[in-house]
Amino acid sequence: MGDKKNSLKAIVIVPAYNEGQVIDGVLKKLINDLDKSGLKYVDIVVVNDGSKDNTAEIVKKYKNVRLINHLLNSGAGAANRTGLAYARDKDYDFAVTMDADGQHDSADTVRILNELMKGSRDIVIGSRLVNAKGMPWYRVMLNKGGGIFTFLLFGIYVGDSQSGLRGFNRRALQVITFHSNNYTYNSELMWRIKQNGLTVKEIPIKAIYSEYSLSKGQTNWEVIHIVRQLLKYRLLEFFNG
Amino acid sequence: MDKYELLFILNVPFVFFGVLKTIMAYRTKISSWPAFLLRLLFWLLILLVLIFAGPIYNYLYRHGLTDSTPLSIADVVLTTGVMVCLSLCLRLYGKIDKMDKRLSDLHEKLSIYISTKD
Repeated sequence: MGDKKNSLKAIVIVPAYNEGQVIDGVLKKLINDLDKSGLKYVDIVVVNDGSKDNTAEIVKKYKNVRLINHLLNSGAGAANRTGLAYARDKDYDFAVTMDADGQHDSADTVRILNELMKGSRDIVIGSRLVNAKGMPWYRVMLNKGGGIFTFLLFGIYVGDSQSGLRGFNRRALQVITFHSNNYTYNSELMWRIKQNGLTVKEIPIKAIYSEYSLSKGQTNWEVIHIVRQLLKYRLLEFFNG
Repeated sequence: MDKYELLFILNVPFVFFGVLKTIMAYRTKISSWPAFLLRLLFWLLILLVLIFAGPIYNYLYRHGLTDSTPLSIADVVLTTGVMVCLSLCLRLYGKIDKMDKRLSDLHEKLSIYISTKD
C-alpha cells in the first residue's frame, strides 16, 4: 500500500494574481511540508494569472516549481482551470488546488493529498466552515449562503462550496470542466461534480485570515455578479441544452 | 382567418423547434432525464396556451381576472415579434457563450504551451 502510494504522481496547483508580497512564504512552507510528508512524486505549479507585480520573478527562483504564465489576466476560475488542464495533460493521478494568498495551511494540502490517496472519494474539499473560528462573521454568512444558493440552483449541497482548497483524483480530472473565469467557478464546479456523478468528501481545514488575505478573494459585492451569472448559466442550459 | 388561429400558426414553429432541440439535447446526452422532462413540459405548456388562447382569454374575462380588450391583429404581430426577438437573443447569447468558451480554451492552451516549451 505504502509503495503504491509513493508511486502515484500528484500536483499542487497554486493560482496567483499579484501575490508578490506573500507567495515566497507560501511556496517555502508548501515545499517544506511536502518534503516532511514523505510523499515522493508531488510537483508544484503556479498559474500566474497575468500579475502586474513581481509574482512571476519570485516563482522563477524556485527551480522545482513549474510556472505557467497567463497571457491575459482572466480570473481565479480561469487560473484554476489552466492548472487542472495542465494536470490532466501531464497525466497526474491527483491534483490539489490551493490559494496563493496564504489563507491555506499547506499542512492541510498534504492532508487532502493523503485523503485522496486513500481512494474513497473522487474529490476532497477542505472545509473552513466545520471550525469557522477566526473567520469574520460576514465571510461565514457569505460562504454558507453560497452553499445554500448552489443547492437551490444545482441540487448539490457542500458545506463550503466556495473553498479554494480542493483535491481531485484522476477520474475527476478527466471529466471535470467548467467555464466560469471568475469566482463563479466555485459554484459551477459543484454543478459539474453533480452532473458527472463524482463523490465528494469534506475535511475540516484551518483558514488563516490576515489583513492581506481578507483584502484578496471575492468581495461582498461580487456576490451579486456571481448570482446573476449562475442564473444565466442555468437559463442558457435550460433553453440551449 | 381567426386571429387566434393566426397567433397559433405564427408561433407554433418556435414551439416545434424548442421541442426538437429538447429531444436532441436528451438524445445526444447533453441534458439529463429530469432536465428533458422539465424542458418538454415548458414547451408543452406554451403549446397548450397557444392552442387554447381564445378559451383562456374568455375564461379570464368572464371571471374578472382580466379587463384587456380581445386579441387584435396588432397583438398577434407584437406577440410574434417578441417570440422572434427572444429566440434570436437566446441563440446569440448561446453563440457568444460558445465563442467565449473557445477563446478561454485557446488562452489556456497557449499559456500552457508557451510556459512548458522551454
